[in-house]
Amino acid sequence: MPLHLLAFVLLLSLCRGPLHAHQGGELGTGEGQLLPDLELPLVSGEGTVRLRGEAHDPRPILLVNFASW
Amino acid sequence: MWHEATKELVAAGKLRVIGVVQEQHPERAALWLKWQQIDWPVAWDPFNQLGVKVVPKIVAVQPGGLVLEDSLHPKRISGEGGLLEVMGRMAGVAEELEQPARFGPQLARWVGSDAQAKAQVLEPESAIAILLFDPEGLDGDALPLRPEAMRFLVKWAQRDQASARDHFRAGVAQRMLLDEEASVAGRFQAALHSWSRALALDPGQYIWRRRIQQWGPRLDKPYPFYDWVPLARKDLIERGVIPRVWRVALSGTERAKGGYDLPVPEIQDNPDPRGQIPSDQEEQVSLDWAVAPHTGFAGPNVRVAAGTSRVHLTLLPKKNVSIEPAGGPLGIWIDLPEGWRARSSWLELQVEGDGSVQAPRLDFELVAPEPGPPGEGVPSPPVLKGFVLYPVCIGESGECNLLRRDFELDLSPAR
Repeated sequence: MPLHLLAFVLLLSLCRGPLHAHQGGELGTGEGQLLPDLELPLVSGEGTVRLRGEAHDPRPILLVNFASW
Repeated sequence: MWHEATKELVAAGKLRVIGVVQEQHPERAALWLKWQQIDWPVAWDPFNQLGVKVVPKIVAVQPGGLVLEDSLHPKRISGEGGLLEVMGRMAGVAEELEQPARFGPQLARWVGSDAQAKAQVLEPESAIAILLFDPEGLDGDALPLRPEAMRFLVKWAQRDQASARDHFRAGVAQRMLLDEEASVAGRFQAALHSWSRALALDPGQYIWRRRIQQWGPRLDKPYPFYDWVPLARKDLIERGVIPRVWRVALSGTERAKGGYDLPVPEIQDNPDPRGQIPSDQEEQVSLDWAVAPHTGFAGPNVRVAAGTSRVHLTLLPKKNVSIEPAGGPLGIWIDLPEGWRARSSWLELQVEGDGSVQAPRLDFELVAPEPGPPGEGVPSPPVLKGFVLYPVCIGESGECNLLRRDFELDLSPAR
């Protein structure tokens, strides 16, 4: 593949990827979007949790949306 | 399933699992978690601020909020697209996390402390923050912020340019306040109308659809909603855990199984065919009606006869009035329209679960005749007519009477 074409494809994939969305700040739960910055109460009624994570906590987050039924 | 699959990663400090439920009542999910022995932090998002359309939805999030994967499968831990591979792509902590979240308890605190904001709730987010984070409902000057927050969301949804999401939020707020005050006739119906308007505008939003189905007819339930609750309570008690008593008891339809069958109707005699029981002209008791429609009214795919619904009734006596079940029949007579079905024409009001004898309630299913062939217009639902009988005593040593109230109930869903 010619070099300029390869660069174009790389640019396209970057624009469609997470980096672009991160910079653009589109909010949502879709791939490449930024999760809305919500700190919500816990169902136990004791405390809150911030969905984007906490400062100084490098652990990745698995967000499981579910219902008890 | 995710709980088991991620246990080791969480224990090793390599992963954080956060649950989110969009249910109206958080204590139900809390009971389920205790029963299932799941110890994740689980957030309560009744207004669906996350904007999820359907659950379960598993999302891999990099600290700071970037979504790397939005459709993880619970069985895929290793391999390409599996949890471990996605985790490997995640980067470190974002600097923005040093700042407070854009939406959170600090917003409710600000509204409570700011003079201008205190006088009037200014925007939907601050109204929602008050409803989620100010359980006492009072700020420092004892202003009732919670009702004000609810009124704001209702008013916001009355604007010409109101969105489907505005209607949904108004419904959540109204139901929330009803559960706190428990004596406001018409509020549950208002909440159902708000949810119906939201769903009519966005029929593909299944979080909203489930909110109506939770209280709707069995015929419309994709699965039972809270039939597991008695078993969970029993198991927990056997384990030595005493579950908390809920302020809001389950309605009949929330405990019901789904299904297309209806019991064979019981034949009952009209208890007052000639209208001889005195009418409650002074309205010693308010009738709080709510009709939860079959959600087939929203969207083009389901053809359902208009009017098929679950009808909820709660009796709300005046302050000096008490219901005396021993004093006569306590129930409702419905004049079923031609071709319609119900469990019976005479339905007794029950005092169920942790409910009070002074607010007896009932919910029952109404099934309209089958709709005509495709292309034929769906007929408008009729008005349901009948009467309610209730034995009451007025004042501490006052007289006791059996009273009757006739009713006409519109079964149309709001649009």
